[in-house]
Amino acid sequence: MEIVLRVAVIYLFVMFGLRVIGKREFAQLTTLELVTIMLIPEIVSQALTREDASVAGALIGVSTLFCLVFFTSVLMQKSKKVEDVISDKPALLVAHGKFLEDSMNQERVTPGEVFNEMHRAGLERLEQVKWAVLESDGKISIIPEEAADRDKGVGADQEGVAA
Amino acid sequence: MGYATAEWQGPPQPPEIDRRLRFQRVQAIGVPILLLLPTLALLGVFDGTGTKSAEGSGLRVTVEYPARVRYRSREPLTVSVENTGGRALAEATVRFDRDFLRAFSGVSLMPEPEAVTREHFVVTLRDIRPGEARRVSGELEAEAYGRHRGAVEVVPGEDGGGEAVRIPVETITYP
Repeated sequence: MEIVLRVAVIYLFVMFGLRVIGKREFAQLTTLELVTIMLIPEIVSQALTREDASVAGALIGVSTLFCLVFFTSVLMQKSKKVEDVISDKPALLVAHGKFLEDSMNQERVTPGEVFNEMHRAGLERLEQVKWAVLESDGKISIIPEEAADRDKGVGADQEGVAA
Repeated sequence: MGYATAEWQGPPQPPEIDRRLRFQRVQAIGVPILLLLPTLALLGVFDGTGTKSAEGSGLRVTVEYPARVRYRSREPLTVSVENTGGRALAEATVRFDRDFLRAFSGVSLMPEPEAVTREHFVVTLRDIRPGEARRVSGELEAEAYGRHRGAVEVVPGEDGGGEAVRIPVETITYP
């Protein structure tokens, strides 16, 4: 039935679109980003169901979406390559107290945003930051110089994985 | 405030694990259930057209009707009448069961019914010469849930004589 194919096509396209515009866009919603998120369902809803008012159509559409989400996560779990294609990799923004300018420009992160996260972590100067990482979910993690030094050696132990 | 190049010099990357698929019990049961609906939909369980033909009294009648529909979906209904006899038919009529059509709203037929009796919508087909065919087509919007049975009858008319050709039809409307 058509609705299954429509949901699959829209799902893949939206996933592709979100992957392309980057992780930063949906982590902290600006007005523009909020409008984007609100408009997506408005735009695609007609295309998804084509005025299908039936409960059967709704159930088919929702179960199709659930199945797509589930099988996407299964593929990501099974294959590292698929995971790399679908989910964004973390990006390093600051290393040893220095901005990584190319990376910040590529990810469209401003110095002010990094400083905001530093302040939340209780840091005031860039030199106090060993690493600032833009994670896959769009959040910025701050690892202070002291914490990184203190944990040296512990990280090496953690690299092994229990069976 | 200095800048450096954009190469990964960050914290250690997470170690890789042996990636295997492990499903929770609820997923092992639930995912096949979820998968059932789209699969049935792709197999055409929730929508489909039925086609039936019958011959008799110098007529070949073919009805294409909605066999499975979803609530409020509009589906085509077509009746083709071919004169396979040796005589022209001046006033053949196509009769649609009113009980059957009552399950639908927004019924439109072309040519339009000339008469509506207690039991039938009656469409008259004029001047069907031997070998010629006429068609009644329309659209039905599914309104009532459930299984609806009825029939389409084609009566050759006084000139043609003979029995009516009756084709039973059945539509299942999903909510």
